[in-house]
Amino acid sequence: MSHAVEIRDLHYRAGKTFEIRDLAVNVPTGSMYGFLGPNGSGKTTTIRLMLGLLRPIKGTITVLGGAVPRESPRILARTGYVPEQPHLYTSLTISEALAFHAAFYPTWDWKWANELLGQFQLRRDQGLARLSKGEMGKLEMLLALAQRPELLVLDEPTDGLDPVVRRDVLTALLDYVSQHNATVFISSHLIHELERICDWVGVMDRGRLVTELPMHSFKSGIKRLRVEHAPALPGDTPFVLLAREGGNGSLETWTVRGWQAPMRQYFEGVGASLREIVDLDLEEGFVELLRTFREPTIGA
Amino acid sequence: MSRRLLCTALWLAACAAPAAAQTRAELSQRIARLTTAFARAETARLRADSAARARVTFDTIRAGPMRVLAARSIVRAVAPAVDSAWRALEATFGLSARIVGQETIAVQFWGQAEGNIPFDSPNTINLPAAPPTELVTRYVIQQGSRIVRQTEDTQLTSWLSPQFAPGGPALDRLDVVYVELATSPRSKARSCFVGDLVACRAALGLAGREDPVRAWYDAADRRAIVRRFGRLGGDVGRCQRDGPDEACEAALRLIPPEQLPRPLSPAAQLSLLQIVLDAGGPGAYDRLRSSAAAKHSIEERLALTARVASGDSLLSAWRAKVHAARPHTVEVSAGSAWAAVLWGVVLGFLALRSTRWR
Amino acid sequence: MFRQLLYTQWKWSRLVLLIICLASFALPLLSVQGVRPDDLGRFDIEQMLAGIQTWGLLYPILAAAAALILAMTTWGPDHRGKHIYALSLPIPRWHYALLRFGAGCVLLAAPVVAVWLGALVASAATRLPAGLEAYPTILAMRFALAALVAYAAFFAISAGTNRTAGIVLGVIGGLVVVQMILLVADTNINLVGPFMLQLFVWPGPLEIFTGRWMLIDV
Repeated sequence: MSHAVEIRDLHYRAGKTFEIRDLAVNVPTGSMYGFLGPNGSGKTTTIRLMLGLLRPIKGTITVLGGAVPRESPRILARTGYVPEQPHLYTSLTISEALAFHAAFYPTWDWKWANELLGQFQLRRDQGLARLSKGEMGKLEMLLALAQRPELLVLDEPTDGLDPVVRRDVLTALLDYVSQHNATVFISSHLIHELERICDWVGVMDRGRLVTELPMHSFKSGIKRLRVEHAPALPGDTPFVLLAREGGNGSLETWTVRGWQAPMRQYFEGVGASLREIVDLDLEEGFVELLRTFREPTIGA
Repeated sequence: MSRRLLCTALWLAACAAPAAAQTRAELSQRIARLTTAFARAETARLRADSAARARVTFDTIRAGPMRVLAARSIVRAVAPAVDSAWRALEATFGLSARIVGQETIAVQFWGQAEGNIPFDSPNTINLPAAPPTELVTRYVIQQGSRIVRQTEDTQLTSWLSPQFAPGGPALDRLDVVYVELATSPRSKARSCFVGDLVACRAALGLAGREDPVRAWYDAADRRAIVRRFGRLGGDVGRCQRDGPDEACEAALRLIPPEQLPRPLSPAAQLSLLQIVLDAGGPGAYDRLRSSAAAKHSIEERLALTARVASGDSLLSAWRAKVHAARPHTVEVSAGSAWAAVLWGVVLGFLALRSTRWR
Repeated sequence: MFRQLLYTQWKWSRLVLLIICLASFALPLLSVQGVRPDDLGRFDIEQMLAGIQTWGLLYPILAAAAALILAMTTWGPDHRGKHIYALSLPIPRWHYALLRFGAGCVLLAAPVVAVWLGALVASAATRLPAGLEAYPTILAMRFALAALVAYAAFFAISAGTNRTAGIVLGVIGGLVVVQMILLVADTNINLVGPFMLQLFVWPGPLEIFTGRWMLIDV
């Protein structure tokens, strides 16, 4: 499998407290990769490192086959970027902003840009300073899409947008991806949104990558198990035991990752009874994952 | 003791005597006694001064015919300056420089070991402690020049700037003269600038026995000068109120001729003199001095010294040199322009080397 | 690319550029306002030249002001956006900075042309006596060179990081503090004087600002 983005052993420090250490990210080509993490976990910093806006202390970054930052201009010409905060010159009108942006991208498609203008109901003569948050979000997405990129890097593109705008933006994005097989790297803390569109997920917390796996594995893989007469030491388990908590009497609650149905046999083998399997939604799974990452309680 | 003090003392002494029983004769005798006492005291003072002078040791430094007195403790500092000064005087004044030997010059420094020496010489130079040699040289030259030039004839002295001396203002500041001619408020100077040699003659004061009020200025100049001088009395008010030119003329005649503003500054005359001395070669100044005997005008004397046919030739040559020396102060030199462009490039390059843009 | 950058810079600075151009055009005219061509033989040329020279002090100040304002408006919007947009554009970083510099230089031509035109009009409107000449082109050229040097300096400072600006200010401030200490300690060491001399004497960067900024002179 080829990767649109490969990050190896990335190390970056900002100030005295924040650090990204030993980061490794692989974004398969043609995938929609959801980059999850709580606020302040380093998602935006990772994206800026990926695009060459920041320089790492150590590590390698390869995007679309090119090394960052050495080949950044060539890579950026094929990458559409929507940053976390609007970054356009607010003194311009929409028409001027389009003209400015188009001047730098040889692959700019004016026809499609005009279509998106109509689709997003934006007026050319509107000043950027007067745009609402939703309109600005749509404009940012328009600029990223109209340059026909191979890779889209979206940093919380729908954050703060109302559901209608969010729908418009995501619809345009999915249309583009379906037609052009582009790779999408989208970061967000809106898990339900990513759940619907992404096929890969990476979770980041406190500058470290917690896990990186296909979305279906992530969704289905984390379960809460009610176990009776659980052994004191679980031994070798076919799943990843994230946490175990005592409940009423001999009943314990185990949080596991990588669960599959045939793994019931393990409990029979250790003399325990599996009373209940509780499916966690993505948000609950994400929370559990972070909780156990921050405070491992195996054997407690 | 001064006479005034003496009289006061005598008066007090007379008053101190009892008022009663003082006859005229007794008062006269008293005054005679006090006068005698004063004379004796004065003699003693002069004797003491002479004795003090006799105790001070000073030497005579000679350079050519020039004699300079200096206290023994400062001779070593003064001697090189005297030597330099003599050479400068000789180079400028030629044989006439020997006139400097007719008088003695004295030099002393504040705080010298021997203290203040009451030299009788009118050419005494008092300088601060440990002055640089160049300063001593300059002052000796000044005194020497004064001695030489005080024997010039009055025609030459009245025309020639008192600033003419070796090491004085440069004689060849033709660029300054150009600016002065081009920007002078005096009509004669501006007419000279555009080529009127008669105006040049008047502006340079070469016309001989001229009435400066009529020769140096036209009517508008006279009015402008009266307005500037202000309170002169006489017809000043009439002149200032745009009255007839006669009123302005009369007002100007109230000013001593030597105080009237000349059409051109001494720099112009010095520049003409430089041309004359250069053209005349060695001994030019001597010839200029000696030409007084033939009773020529100052212009004829200058032309003879410079060995040119006439005053017009001399003035034309002077004017041509002045025009050739036109300054180009406003222009931007190639060096300045290239330096500015280079700095623009360098500073712009520094911007590109910023860590953000590298 | 360059055209778009030029357009944005023009849009950011057009109002203040207009004011500067008006001032640049007016300055030569103001400097000769006391000249009375009908009174040609009588006015005081020295006074006139002194007046022109006094007005001439404003030219280098105007050049520096124009340069400073253009440099600030060049980088202002990028500074506010933390340079995210500029750094995410698909051109080498130095190339972007160079284009910005070039655009600023093009805009700087406007006040230079304004000075030149104003000087031409002032020269044409003034009948000069013999010996005086007008130097509109030289004046405009000196103005252009001074503005270029000032713009490059302010551009370099504005383009740098806060750390760079801090270093520059720190060096200057340190120099001043050390000089004050030396003064208080009653030493004869003069650090600032020779440094300033190097700036203002050829081939120093500020030498072009010195000299006679005269529209009319001998």
